[in-house]
Amino acid sequence: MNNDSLHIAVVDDDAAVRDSLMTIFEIEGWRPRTFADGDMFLAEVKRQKFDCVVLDVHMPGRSGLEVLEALGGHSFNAPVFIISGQGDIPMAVNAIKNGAHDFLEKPFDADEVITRVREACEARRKRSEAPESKLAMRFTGAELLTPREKDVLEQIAHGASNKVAGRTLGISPRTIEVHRARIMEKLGARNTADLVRIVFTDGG
Amino acid sequence: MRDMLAGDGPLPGQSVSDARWSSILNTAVDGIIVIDEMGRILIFNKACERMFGFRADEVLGRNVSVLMPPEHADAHDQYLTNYKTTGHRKIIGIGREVRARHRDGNFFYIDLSVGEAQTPDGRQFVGILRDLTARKDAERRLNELQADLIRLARVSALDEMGSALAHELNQPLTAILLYLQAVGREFSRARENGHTEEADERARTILEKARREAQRAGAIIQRIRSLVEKREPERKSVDLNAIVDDAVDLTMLGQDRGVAITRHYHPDLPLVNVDPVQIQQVVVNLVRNAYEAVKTCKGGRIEIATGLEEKGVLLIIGDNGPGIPEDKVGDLFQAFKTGKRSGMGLGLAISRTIAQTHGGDLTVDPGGEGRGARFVIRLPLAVNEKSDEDL
Repeated sequence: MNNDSLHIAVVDDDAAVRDSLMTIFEIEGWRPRTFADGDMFLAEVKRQKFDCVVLDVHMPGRSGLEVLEALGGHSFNAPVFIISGQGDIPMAVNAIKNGAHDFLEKPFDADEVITRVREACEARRKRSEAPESKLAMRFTGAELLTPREKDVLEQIAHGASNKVAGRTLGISPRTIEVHRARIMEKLGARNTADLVRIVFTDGG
Repeated sequence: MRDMLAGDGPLPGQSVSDARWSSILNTAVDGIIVIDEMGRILIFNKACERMFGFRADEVLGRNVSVLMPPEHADAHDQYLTNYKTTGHRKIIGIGREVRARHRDGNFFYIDLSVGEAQTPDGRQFVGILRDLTARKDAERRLNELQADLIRLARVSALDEMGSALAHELNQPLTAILLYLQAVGREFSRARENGHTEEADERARTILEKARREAQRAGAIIQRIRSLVEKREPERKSVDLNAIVDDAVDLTMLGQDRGVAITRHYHPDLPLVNVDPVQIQQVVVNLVRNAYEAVKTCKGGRIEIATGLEEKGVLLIIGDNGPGIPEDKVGDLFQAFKTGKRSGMGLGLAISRTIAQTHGGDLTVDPGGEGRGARFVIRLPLAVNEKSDEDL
């Protein structure tokens, strides 16, 4: 287990949710900072590098999705978790398409939040240390995929299940499912076998 | 006069006039009672027998107060004396709705009109009585149905707000869960690293925060509950500003706070005598409508204001949305006509009914051409009703 003191940004307009997340992160020995709205966070993110961002989707002013967009979506340098209520799943899915790492559904469990944040940070660190993707992304349509979708595709193409791929990439199997559907749509694949065929035969 | 008539002639010893008189009395649908100056019953017709359950021979000669509820029975002799000495009329020639007492001790409502006659035997009073029991029952039934409908609309409004309310409850629950787990972690850490005052203090602080969040969740439930609970309509003297403020907060729970709410409350509003839950229901309805109208516009604004007029208080709920299209204004207050995809289209119809049962009204300035819609509720000031005892 990595015991780095992670720098976590918590962006939520609800004071209690913000404070309770900060409390569990502090007990974990991490260094959380909290922001009551997107603008305050966006001002700070220019000065400080965070290892992970926990971002509420429902906020006054800029919504979580707008903040995500302002961060640069897929090209932002830290994993972003979107906090959503049960009713906001379509919004959360949308967030993942737009570069969020994963979503946390309220009310959430402290152990789960900590585990997933830690895994996401580790996966991100490993990826930045690892050499470029082994899978040559030269098939038609590869340029349509986001970096995260390429990661997922690589896992799928090598036969990883949603669960295994999720563990490797530090995201939930459900999120893998979202990416998978998105990739198949972009590449025009009808099923997983079709997907593998496209990746490996089409100039790959 | 002693006209001799064939057929249904007068009984021996009875004049034609007496016979005609007694026939009129006993055929009348309304109750007829005649009393003397002392309040003694001289005439008690058949309709009265049916109404009160007494036979005429049981009450003739007795004081009329035997037919009255205690609040009038005790004072009736005094009423008669007052009238004799001052000549001041409180009921004679006027007529009013009063309670009466049946032989079995139950009370019922009658419409009573009183006249007087100067007779050779002295001054007498004639009372004509109409039983209002059936009408009162129908009124009560109607009121019950209306109260049920109003409540139904309230539940339906909350139902539509369900996901926003769930979101709002989710916040404190999320925080409570995290706080409790944080305390658990503090404890495990204390077990490993040894027990310290500081660790205790940290755990206490966290528990206190969890308790506060539980209260917050409770307060949200409380607010919702008061709106769904089945209860009798009531009238209370309340501060309109306070109940309006509460209802606005409830409506905006969990809504996008990108919409600005401005509140201008009249600082010296007199108390109003209303059913607070029903008035809050109207506010919830109108604020929700306003929210729907502005939520998609940039800079959406809802204005809530209270004010004072000569005859009552005003509550204004306006927005800066597109206004109400001209062709929709006509049946805006009709039940089951809705421009929205969800809901039954009861909101405005019920809101107007509520305002009207309070003796007020709900009107609209539909706006349009750059102006938003503006709803105005007028409620009368609480008046001190004349006491019923004052016959």
